[in-house]
Amino acid sequence: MRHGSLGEFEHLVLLATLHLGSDAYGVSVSEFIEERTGRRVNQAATYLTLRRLEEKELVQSSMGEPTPERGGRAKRLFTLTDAGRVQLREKREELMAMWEGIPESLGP
Amino acid sequence: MSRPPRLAERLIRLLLPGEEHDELLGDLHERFQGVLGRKGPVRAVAWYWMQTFRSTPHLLLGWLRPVPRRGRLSTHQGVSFAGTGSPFRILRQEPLLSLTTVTVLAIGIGAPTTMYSIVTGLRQGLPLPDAQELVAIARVDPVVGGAAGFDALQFDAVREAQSAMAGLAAYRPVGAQIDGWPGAPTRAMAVELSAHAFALLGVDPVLGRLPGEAGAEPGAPPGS
Repeated sequence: MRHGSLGEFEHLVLLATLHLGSDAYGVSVSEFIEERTGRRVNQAATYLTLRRLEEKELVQSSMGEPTPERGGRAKRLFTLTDAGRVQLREKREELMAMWEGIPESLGP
Repeated sequence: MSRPPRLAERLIRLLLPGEEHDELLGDLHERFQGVLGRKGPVRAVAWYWMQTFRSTPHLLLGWLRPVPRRGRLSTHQGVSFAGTGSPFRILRQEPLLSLTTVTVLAIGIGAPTTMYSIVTGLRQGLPLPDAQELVAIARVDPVVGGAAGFDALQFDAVREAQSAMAGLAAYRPVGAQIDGWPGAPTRAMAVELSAHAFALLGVDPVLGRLPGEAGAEPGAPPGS
């Protein structure tokens, strides 16, 4: 599977999944991104992104138990794969290389 | 109402056929319960519909790209299109939901376009120079969860710090009493403006005089 480049939202979703560890699923990922970035996140966008990342083999999933607060539906829990960690590491190095030498004020 | 709107749920089922919609509906149900507890049933239902509207383009785009079925993720095993059947067949089998989907899409596209046209038309119709450059600025109040005004200190701070606009002026709707014009005192809706508003709008008062800049300073005597 070719992993390809990470989109901005995919990057955020992967980072949230890494932060949340074993408790990463659609709702917790959306709420984490909203809390950290202040942006409003559409639940379908998060869900479809997690599925796309799974297709790229950057995350893997397993089903949890059905719960009443979800209307009796089970949640799908996601964890990062080794390929996902490699992808994040590469992305971080790429961004750090681009930020290197730029002062905090962004001035000249 | 302690559960999400059924029609919105059915719409998502239609837009995301197959087993996958249960997982998304579970996520939405859980977040709905959270909004319900914090903001009450009306806001929770409005939130759910907003999520449904905003989901539509994502879910429709999902139909156009191949996604793996659960348990068949490896490329060696191939990929298939999402859902259990052709979207068009499902649309034909569910005429009511199809109609709802088309209506939602039409409203979703038409409503913002109409509002934009109305607002643009109104602004162009204002008898002010450069009316098309006027914008309204509001503060987002995290407690209220929506737009809110500025108090005087906040307004002064924003006005001094900003450099994107030619200038800022504040306004506040108030109830006013007009004495002796045209006859007996009458109550009227009025708008209080900051000292800079007339100059910024490029207009002169029809009656009376403009307040001076000194009148806007804290502690300035009335009428200065």
